[in-house]
Amino acid sequence: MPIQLSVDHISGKPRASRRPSPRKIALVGHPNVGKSALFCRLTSKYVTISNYPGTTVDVFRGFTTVDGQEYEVLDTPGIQSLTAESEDERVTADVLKHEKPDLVIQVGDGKNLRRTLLLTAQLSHLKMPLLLALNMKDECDRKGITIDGTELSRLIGVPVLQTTATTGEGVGALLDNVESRGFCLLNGHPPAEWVDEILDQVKVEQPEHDAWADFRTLLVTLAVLIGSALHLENYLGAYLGWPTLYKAVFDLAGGTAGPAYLPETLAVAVGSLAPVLLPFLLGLRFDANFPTRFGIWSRRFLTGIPILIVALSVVYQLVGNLGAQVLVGVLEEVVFGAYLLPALGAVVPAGFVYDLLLGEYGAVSVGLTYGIAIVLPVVSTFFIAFSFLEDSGYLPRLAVLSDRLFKRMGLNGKAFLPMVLGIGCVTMATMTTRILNSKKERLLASILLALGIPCSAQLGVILGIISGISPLATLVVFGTVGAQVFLAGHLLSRILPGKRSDFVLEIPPIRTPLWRNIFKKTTLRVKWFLREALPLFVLGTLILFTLDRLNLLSRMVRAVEPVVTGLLSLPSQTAMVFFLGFLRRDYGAAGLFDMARNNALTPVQIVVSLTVMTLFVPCVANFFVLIKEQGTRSALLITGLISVYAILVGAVLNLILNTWSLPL
Amino acid sequence: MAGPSSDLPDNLRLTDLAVGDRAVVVQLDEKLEMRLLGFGLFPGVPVEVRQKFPACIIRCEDTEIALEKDVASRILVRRVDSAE
Repeated sequence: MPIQLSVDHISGKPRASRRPSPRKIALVGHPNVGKSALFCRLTSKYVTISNYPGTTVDVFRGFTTVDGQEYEVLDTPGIQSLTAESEDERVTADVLKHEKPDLVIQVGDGKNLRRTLLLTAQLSHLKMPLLLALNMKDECDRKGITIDGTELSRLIGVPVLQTTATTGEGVGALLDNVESRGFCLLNGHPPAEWVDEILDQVKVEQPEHDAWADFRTLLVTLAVLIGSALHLENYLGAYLGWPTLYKAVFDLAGGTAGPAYLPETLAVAVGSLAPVLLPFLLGLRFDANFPTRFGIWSRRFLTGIPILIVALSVVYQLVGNLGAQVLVGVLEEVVFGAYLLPALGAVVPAGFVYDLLLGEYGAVSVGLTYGIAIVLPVVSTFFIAFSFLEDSGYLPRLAVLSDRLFKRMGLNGKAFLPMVLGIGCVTMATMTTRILNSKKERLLASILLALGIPCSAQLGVILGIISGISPLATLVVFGTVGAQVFLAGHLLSRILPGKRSDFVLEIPPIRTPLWRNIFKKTTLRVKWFLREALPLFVLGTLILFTLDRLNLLSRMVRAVEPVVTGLLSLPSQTAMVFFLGFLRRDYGAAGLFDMARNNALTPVQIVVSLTVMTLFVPCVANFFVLIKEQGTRSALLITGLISVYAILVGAVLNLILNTWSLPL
Repeated sequence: MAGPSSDLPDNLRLTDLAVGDRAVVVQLDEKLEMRLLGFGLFPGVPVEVRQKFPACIIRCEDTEIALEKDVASRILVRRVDSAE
């Protein structure tokens, strides 16, 4: 019945339409109640949904048609209340104030009815027609919570519909009711008392939660993930010696067996999983409620840190081994090296065109090879891992673990979100700093992001290079970068005016991510990468090609030679890589990857160049976002300071490493 | 900044409770009131302490909320028998 017309969520502006403007529907609600999922259902277009409270920062718009009437649907950022504590909440308040929607659909959560109704009460002050969609009905059902929607609707004066956006259940009924709006019957009662009265009258049945089903799903997922039940059995048998227990686990999980073949790299990943599996097995014996338990362990200090280390090492294995070794090997050496480039070389005659495409700075031999053969496999594997972490609800727990650390940097645990998103893409993360509550925190987080957070593609390539050296080298690079970020934050928090805000954050339940969603998200991100980054790779190569032809390249390299070869003891070719890094950080990293593979760098040089590259100037895109969010003056100042700082740190690191000659 | 008064003998700070304790919110620091209201946290609401370190975590309805120690100490509660 819902016919989707078009979605324009990039500009955030209404689509130009020949007809008079359609009726507007605004989706409003708490973070993490499935607003974005419902939005996708209503407009049948996928938007990135994640389990971290507050990831929908921009207002997404879509269109839908019900019975010939066109509606514009607006998805607003999740809010805790209408008082606009953060910029994010202000966006929602502004949308309601300025857009004057014909209908507000409050997306609520039946498991948290008190909180939901409290927001209903607040929304009633806006005197706008309301409709309450109690979403995540499936989770309610699983927890045995039943809500009498008709009775609730009578009491609050607003139509109540129950939906499950992830499956589409109840969405049709919701659309059928978009015209049956109501006004909240708060009538001047104090909201808290009013809500209590309603909760007394609506019988909400809430028996004990049976978590066995969740646990079973998780087990099956894990078994499939690992690929082979048989292999795992051998592996655990050899490593853990728990033959009886793990056999019991697989019998319970329905004896799921995947393909018998398991690549070597995945076996290593399984190795990293082994410590996670142990509590898994123990947990099974004492308590079947695993996701909940895992949720608790991961936010406690003593158990949370080991879990974090395991999670990081799994990502390290996946990206560094599977992505950067296996897949890059196949693509670069076989697809590009053995087939594509020689085939092109045979067709294109020697001369200008050949140099342009296949020469030392050729669009294909360098631009496309770096983009597709080196960076693409690495970012793809990283995106898979990142989407999984994002959807599982694990990330807010890291905010809990890291609050005390961030406090010393003048931030609070909430800043963990932009930081970890920064690993996704620093540019996007700089935009999400607006979820932070004070101006000082936003500036501080933007600076730290620009300084020390490598973006996914860059991080992936870094992992790819460094997994070829030694764990100590990894430790030195990330230790140095981490220490600089901490130091800079600590000092800046004392210098910059303003204050830090209190840490209050909702912790969503641990959910088994849907593979379908992870696949969609990864595809979405890979497409984004191909669209945004690949042209820049080619453009960058063309710039280099032109500079080289004009004999300017060698002059530029000579100009910075004292710094690069003198202070940092790096080959002069690295200067070029740093130039590229400004265009796109991962492009620069790919240049280093290439040099490292060809043994053009010693371990010390790799460590120094990676550290400088990570700390070095943000990419062009990030620079523009910095201008947008913080102003031109601040952006220039930040970039200038960071560049000098990066080179200084690199010089000191180079000196130390050469003096002590660590076994890298 | 003056915290909420604990003139009534039964009133405790949230930070005085142990993990697993259940309580009812009595009073919130004025500055926190609007902010915590949105999380469903206001006077009369039952809560349970789930964790105290590295950040305090309480459960309120079906939501877990993380609060840093400083915030938790500005929330006054009355303990409820966990046997209830």
